[in-house]
Amino acid sequence: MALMTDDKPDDVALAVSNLHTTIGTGPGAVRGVDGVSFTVRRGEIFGIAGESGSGKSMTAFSILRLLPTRGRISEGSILFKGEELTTLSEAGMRKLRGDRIAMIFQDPMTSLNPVFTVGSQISEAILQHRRMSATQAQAEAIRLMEIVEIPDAASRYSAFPHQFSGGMRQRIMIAMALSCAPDLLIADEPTTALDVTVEKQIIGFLQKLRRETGVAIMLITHNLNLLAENSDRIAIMYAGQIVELAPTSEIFANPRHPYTQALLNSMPRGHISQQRLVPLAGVPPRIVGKRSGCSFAPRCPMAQELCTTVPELRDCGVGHSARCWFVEGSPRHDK
Amino acid sequence: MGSYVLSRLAQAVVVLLAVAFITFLLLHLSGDPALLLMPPDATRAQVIEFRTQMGFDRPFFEQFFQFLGRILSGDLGYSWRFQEPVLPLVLERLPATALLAVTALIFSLIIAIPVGVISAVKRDTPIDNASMVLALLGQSIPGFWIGIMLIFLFSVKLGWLPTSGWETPQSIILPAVTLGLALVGRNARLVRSSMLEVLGEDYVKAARAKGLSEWRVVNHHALKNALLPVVTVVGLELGILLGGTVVIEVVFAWPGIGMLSVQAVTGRDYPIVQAVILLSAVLFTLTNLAVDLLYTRIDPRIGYK
Ligand SMILES: Nc1ncnc2c1ncn2[C@@H]1O[C@H](COP(=O)(O)OP(=O)(O)OP(=O)(O)O)[C@@H](O)[C@H]1O
Ligand code: SF4
Ligand SMILES: [Mg+2]
Repeated sequence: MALMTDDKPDDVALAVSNLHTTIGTGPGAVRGVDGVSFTVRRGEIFGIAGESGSGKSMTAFSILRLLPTRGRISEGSILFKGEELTTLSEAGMRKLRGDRIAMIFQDPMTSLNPVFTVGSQISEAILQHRRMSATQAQAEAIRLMEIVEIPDAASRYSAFPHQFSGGMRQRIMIAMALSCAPDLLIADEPTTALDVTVEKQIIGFLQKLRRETGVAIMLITHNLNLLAENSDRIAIMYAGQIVELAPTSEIFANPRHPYTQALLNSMPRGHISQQRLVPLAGVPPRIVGKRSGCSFAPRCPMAQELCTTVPELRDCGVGHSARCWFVEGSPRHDK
Repeated sequence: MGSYVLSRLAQAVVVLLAVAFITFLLLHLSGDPALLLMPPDATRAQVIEFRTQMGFDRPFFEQFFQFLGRILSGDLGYSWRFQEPVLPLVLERLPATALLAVTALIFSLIIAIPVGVISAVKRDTPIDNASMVLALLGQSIPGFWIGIMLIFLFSVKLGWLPTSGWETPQSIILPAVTLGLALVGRNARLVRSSMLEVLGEDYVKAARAKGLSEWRVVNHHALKNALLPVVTVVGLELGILLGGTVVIEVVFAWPGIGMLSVQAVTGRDYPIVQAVILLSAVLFTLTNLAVDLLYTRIDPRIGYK
């Protein structure tokens, strides 16, 4: 887990800064993503963790510009390999999607189209972005299925999704994501729906992939254990904001934000990938309208008078920042 | 897969048996089936002879099996009015009804599918709202009124199309459009709601994430899934239409099964009424069977569950 502090521009695959994504308009608009900034470097696995509704998926879909109908990016910038995505044309985005930015989804049972063969769905991705004949695309799809170790790939090409197990389907989604050798792979809870052994295999593929191709991976998950072993840096999200961002070892050794501390204290022993992060009583708020103070305050054991003012992210170490008024002075909040 | 087909076939057989039994019960509901099946001016001796000949004096279940035997051998009785066996009489009218039904359905789908898809894609826009208001309107206006208006406009005023009958190929246009319009509303609303559901599915998001054009996402990935429930409903509609569409056939003097049933009912020609009931039920069951079997071809999941 190399710690890279001086970003050479070539190394940065993705730079998101001050991203605001809202759903709906007017006073009722939900601030799904509210001022998020981070970079993902070539060959890096960048972890994003946080409770349900904290804005992880919304961040991912903002990057691909595939937001729900009423969602829109209202502010901020997304630089992908130096290219600004927030203002790129829809045709330009389509060229990137599935080619240079690929995504795999949480539920492999529902992310493949049930009425088409898995092979045709992989070939389709290939044909969309590469100059190939249908036969060449089919051969390429079979090769990709072999790479993700689907037994009997050639004959399974014409099988339908329901004929595969969840783990096999996720491999097919990965094969599809690999089809055009992307620079950025967004994996939105790729193993949440799978059991632990299958999770290991899937994460193993992602690891191998980034080693061999240098793809940058955004790994979104509820499972901090998974990130402990498989990420280089981690952003912790809460109510649409990043509340702490640090190298993985640093997050685990020296968590500074009370929310991160609570998450770590509540971490289940062993790998229970299906476990949702519910570190404290209460639920994260949905931010509508202006923020009044620190969003975590209602659940924060250390909340004080000052916390009614919105805190900024503050640097508190090398590549380490946290969004809490008491970061400098606050002692580690241990049980 | 094979077992699915077999079980569907078995179901169809059971349904048809039940239909036969109900038809048989209807015949006995009046008290004296012999009177029902004989012409009103038959003599008492003729009725008694007919009663023994048909076995109407035998025990109930024995009669049912005789009845079953007769209909299985294609003997649906004799129409005194037409002086002909009933089955050929009814079958002769089937092509006209089937032609009208299929043309009307195709017409309705040609309109309903694009309208439903566009409404779903443009959800909550003026286009969507306008289409859905029109659909609801089309569903609630009675078919005979539309029919009469169309005759008035295209036949009487403009003289473009024949008012009735089926002598020329153009004759089918007005009845088919009238019948089809009544179905457009329901089918368009069905396509729309089915499409809306599918557009929210993960595999649609995944298709977009592959970089496919919105056209391909909608018309390839989403539409094929959205049409699955539509196939079922259209199958039901076809099954119902094949039984004859009384109002439309009468308005346009279309010589189909609907016309025949009206003539039979007004002429108290019970054998024909009974044959129409049986045939409609058989056609309905067979259409549904065909749709279910078709389903195994278009939805790969069926038969594996
Ligand atoms: N289609 C939508 N319409 C309205 N609000 C939405 C929609 N999708 C998400 N939101 C809201 O946006 C916020 C962020 O949601 P997001 O899906 O990004 O959370 P998440 O961190 O991915 O959660 P999970 O772990 O459950 O996937 C939440 O408040 C959520 O309620
Ligand atoms: S700013 Fe206050 S409420 Fe927010 S995390 Fe820090 S101590 Fe808790
Ligand atoms: Mg999510």
